[in-house]
Amino acid sequence: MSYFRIIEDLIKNARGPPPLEGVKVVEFSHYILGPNIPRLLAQLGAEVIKIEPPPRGDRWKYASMWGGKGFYKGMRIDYLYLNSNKYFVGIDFRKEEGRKLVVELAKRADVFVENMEPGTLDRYGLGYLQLREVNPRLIYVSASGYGNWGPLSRLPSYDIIGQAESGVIDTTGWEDGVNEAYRLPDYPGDWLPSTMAVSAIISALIYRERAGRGQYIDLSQAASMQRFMYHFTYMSLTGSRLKRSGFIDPSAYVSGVFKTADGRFAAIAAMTERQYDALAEAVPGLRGMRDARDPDSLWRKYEAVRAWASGRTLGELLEFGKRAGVPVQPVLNDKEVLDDPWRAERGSVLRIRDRLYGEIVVPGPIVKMSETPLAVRWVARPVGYHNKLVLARKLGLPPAEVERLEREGVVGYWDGQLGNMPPPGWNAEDDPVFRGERDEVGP
Amino acid sequence: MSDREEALRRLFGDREAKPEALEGVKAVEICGTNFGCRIAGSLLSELGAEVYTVPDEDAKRITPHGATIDGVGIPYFVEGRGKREVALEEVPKLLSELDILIDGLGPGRLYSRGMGYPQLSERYPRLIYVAISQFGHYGRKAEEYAEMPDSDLTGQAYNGYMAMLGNPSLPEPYSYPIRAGIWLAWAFAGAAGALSALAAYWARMRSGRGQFIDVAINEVLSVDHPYQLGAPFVLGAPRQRSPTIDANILVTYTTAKAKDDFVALATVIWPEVEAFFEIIGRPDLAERWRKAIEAWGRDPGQLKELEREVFAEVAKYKAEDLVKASREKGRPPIAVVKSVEWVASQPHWRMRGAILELTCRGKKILVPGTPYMMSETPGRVKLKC
Repeated sequence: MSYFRIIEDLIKNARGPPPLEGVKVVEFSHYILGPNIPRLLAQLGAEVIKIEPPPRGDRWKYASMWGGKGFYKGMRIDYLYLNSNKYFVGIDFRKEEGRKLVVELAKRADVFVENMEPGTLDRYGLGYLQLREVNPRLIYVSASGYGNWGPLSRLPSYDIIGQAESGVIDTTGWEDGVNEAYRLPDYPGDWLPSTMAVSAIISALIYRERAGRGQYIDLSQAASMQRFMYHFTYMSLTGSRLKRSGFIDPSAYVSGVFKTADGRFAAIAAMTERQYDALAEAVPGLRGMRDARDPDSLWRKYEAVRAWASGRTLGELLEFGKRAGVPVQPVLNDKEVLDDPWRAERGSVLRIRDRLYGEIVVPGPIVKMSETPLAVRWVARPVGYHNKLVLARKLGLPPAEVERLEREGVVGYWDGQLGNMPPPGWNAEDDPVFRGERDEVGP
Repeated sequence: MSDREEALRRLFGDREAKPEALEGVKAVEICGTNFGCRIAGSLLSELGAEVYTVPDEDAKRITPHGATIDGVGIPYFVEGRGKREVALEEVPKLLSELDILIDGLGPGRLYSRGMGYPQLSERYPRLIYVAISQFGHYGRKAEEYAEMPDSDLTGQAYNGYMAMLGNPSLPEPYSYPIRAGIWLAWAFAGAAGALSALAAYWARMRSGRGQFIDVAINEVLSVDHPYQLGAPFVLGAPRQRSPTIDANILVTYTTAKAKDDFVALATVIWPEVEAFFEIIGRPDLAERWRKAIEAWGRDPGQLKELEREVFAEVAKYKAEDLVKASREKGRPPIAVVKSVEWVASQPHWRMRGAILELTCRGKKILVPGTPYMMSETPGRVKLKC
């Protein structure tokens, strides 16, 4: 059997429990930066309870996308993804009893994730310094633009502010004639830090096994992007700034995006001398220029490859790349990513049947594991959808007590605003999960 | 500084004296020229793992414009943090005490040397083997592209990321899709590699068994952040690049040129959009913008027209005046787009260890620090010249 088949069999036959099974997470967050952390933890098998103030909760779900076309059966499509595998409770934390409920959930939790403006939760008695008193084993994560302490910590942030303050916008685009500044699209100032945070959290869990203590993780969006900015080093080493270079990777021997003979865009990057030499065998004008790596030379080499690539189809360039050992790939658009057979085979674009919202395409797990597979089991729910399930079955409150909390407005539900509703035709009476009689999945 | 901030500053103080989270965890990275692999090893090192690296002469030469420190390229130097070099031939001697092996060479390479997961797992069932490659280690495409090396640029391209970046109305070739100015595909691959290695380690603490993990650089962005899938799923078509207004929420969540500098405008929810139009003295734009969004599906030109009006207004103000007005108003967040030079000079990032200063042969060198600000087990950058 080939190596590829052996690995495929391992991955396809993965049957174990998910890696973070048993880890309990409380999410008190909104938009993307906060919620993506528990999303990944839930994908890894943790139990995530997302607390939202009723009736509106996390405001990200209402932002209109694509002229209002971003909604799918009453919820926004990306919100459904971003909040998959979570339990939704609606708790009014401005009420004393609401705060007590949050504290009760935090007492049984391993991890607490929040991304409010620094200091906000402290004002409600729900900051790290307060919750560690009731649960010293708690791993508490605050995600913010600048971090929770330091001279800039009080400034508000979103992804684009983190991008601007980290310097990453200054690394992207062109200069010398193209005087434009581009934000990196689709909010990497949220996705990258939140992905980084998961390693810190699991490390803290591992440490807690040894030391018995939880801790505070103070994650900064901007610092997470600065982690990958070699520009600081270049600047201090050479005395000059690393100029923006559009599609050219300044660390390559030659690189760029090229228009092919069949009207596609292809990225080519010769990262090593051997790759460059292989390209130079085919491309007129490259020989003898390999070690000239200043910006002007990189541009001249780009132009040589551009002339060559423009006479070849994407397919021909890919064949060349495979044969010569040079990195070449198409610049895919959204639709091509969605329809990519490779992603479908790997389970990276998944068609799932969600119990509530029906058939839906979702992004699959971020990695594939052979013993402890990751999964997307259900997508987001409206505010408070799991109130009964969580409060009665997980927190052990008597049904009469849950009813009282509902009556007194301590816990509550969605109000039917677009972006925060069950699918058309949903009926509470017919939904055993909403009524707290059974869990989303399993027995 | 408030009492809370002071308490936090103390809580996070004395970093060097504190223990490390991953003390006792041993990893080796065999990366070749794959920096996603090196980043995964670095993140484990920052969290306290003992990390060995197999040196690679080609990787040492991957560096902006050929710049080197102590004879190696900048990325290799920066990602060498805390790592001990070990020759590939010596790796087998480490295996019995190894927890994590990170393989960035491409599918089948280590297998052909008798060091693939199928062989190693027989002898070392506790081993966690993280493979980081462009198309993964299984499936037709992995096999088809096995001889083609990976790169960050091709990763950004295949992830659908570059298709959304750049200005299509510039003259060619400046109009072509461009890259994020950092190695975004490699960064995500490294982050995914590190977190999955640790998830597997956590699972092994219960099961006693290691496992194989497959990270594909060419998909890692599109599975982590979901717009490449969500947009065409509901729209039935790919999005178009929009270097100005946000391609998703269709509002002024963007950069714009003020009189002197660029500003970043963080208008996400509608009250922030309205507040921004008030700041630039054009509250009338709110209603027109709302109508233009409603008409976007049949006439995207209306938004373009309004966008020009907004940018013309922004250009009348100094950047700092816009920032000041937004703070006085309470929203939306607005920031001046900072230069790398400015960022490097900020005490905030130095104080928090996000940017570090080393002395190399008498010269002060700045390097990216660590974002792992942890109160009990702070992340550490063990980097020396």
